[in-house]
Amino acid sequence: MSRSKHTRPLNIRAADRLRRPREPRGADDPRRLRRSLRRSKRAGLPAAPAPPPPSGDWPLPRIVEKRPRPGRLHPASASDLSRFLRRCGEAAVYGIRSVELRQGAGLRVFGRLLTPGRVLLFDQPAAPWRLPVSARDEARAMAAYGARLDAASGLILVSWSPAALRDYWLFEVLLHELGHHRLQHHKGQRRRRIARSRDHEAAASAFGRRLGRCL
Amino acid sequence: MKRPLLIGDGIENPHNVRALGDAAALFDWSCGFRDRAGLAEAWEDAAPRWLEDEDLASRRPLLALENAPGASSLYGFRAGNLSLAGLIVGNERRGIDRGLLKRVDRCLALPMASRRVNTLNVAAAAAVSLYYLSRGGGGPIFRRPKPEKARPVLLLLGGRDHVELGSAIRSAAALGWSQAYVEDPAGVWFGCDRVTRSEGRGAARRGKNAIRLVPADGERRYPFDEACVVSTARGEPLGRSSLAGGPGQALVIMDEESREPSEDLSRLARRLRYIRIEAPGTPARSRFRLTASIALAEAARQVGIRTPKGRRGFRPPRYDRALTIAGDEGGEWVSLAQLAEY
Repeated sequence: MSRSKHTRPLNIRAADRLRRPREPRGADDPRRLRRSLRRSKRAGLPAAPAPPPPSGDWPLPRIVEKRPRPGRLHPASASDLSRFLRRCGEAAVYGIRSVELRQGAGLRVFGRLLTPGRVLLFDQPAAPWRLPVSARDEARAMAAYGARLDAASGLILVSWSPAALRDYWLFEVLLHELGHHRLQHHKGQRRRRIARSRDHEAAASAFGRRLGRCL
Repeated sequence: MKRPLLIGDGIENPHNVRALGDAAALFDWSCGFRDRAGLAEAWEDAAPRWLEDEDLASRRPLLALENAPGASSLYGFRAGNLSLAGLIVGNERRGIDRGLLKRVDRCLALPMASRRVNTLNVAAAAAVSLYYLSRGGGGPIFRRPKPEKARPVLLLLGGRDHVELGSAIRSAAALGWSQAYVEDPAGVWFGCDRVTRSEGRGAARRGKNAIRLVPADGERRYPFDEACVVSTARGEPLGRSSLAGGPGQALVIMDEESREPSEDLSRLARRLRYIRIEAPGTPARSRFRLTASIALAEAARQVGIRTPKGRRGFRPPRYDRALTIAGDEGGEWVSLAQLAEY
């Protein structure tokens, strides 16, 4: 068993760190436990019980909800986010400091990762969305989540039900940003660009698809 | 009544001794010297006032003008009551004596824009310091996103003294000007003999001074919108004048010793503005390097420095999930119903 907190597998490290973020190095080192037992025995004191393993719910990152602008809405609410993040698990959420629902501009940008660890999800205009024809690939992806597509005057009209839009938002947008965070955070270069944009996007999309299949 | 004291520490050049005396007289300061190099015999005709340690001990505050680590900027420095103040300027090559530097209350430095020419002539530096100290510091240096856009064009109306002109050119380069127009009616800069040329270039530190000097004749007309003519004779106060008008503004500095103050300068610009350096004293000689350095220092303060970006200059990466737009292939989407109606 590794005594170092840095070389343990990610799942174990994330679960431990999320529950005990300020624990010093070597806190659960068996050598320290044995040393304290020997000391207690020499002094004739009863042995101190071993600390219980971490249990219970791990703390979620901070979720900040700002009011959307008039005529716009947040596809997923704060409670949707908290439930979804708990389903994602510690390994996916480890290192995320906050998830914020913010006012955005236009229809182009859905979400953003501000390194290190801040995920922003922007409000969107109420349905139907008017997409340019050149966004047909994106429209087809939306249709896979239950959106209805119509064509009108050189535009693609995308109509959503609230549940479909929420699923799209959580599985497509939020997981994509978590994928960016995963790549940036666990390379240890939280504030530097560590891959080309194209590779970063591809890795984030792949992570999102992989995790989405497991949820 | 005691006057503030300008102290030259180890000054080597007798010409600088006289120039320091004129700088002090310009602002009604007294002037004295500490001889560290045993050069009294070389100064026979300069006749300086020798100072002892007791003279310095009685001076409060005791200020030093030196590019030392931790020196405060001269711009915006307020010294308080100057009646017993002392300002020390150091040797031309080695600066102020280190032991004396430890005894001063505060060290001041004039911010330089050039890295290659980063000092002024000692008398010019003293004059600039006395100007700001006498005015209670003036304001701090300006900060602009693009300070070079505010820098006026420099026009030096030179006189008969090549060393004065050379020192003024050195000040211009040190304070950030990369080009200057020079009117040289007496021929002491362009087309002069070898000795004059050598001394003038030495005063300008031409070896590391990359300023471009454009010769201009006295009859030339310039296309500037405004010309600010700086002198000690007449005009609005220098501290209240705007000297950061950009390339459409000409900063004109005239050698008052050899030029008439009433000279017609309407050929310089569409609009003429006279600016006066507020100096209460009357020096024995009006020196071009002192006037020029003070005007250039004030203009450099108003032109300012680039606004520092600080932490906002560093932007960590951000990753967007945005709408993916494919390349525009032209054409138009047509529904089946529209196709059937066609």
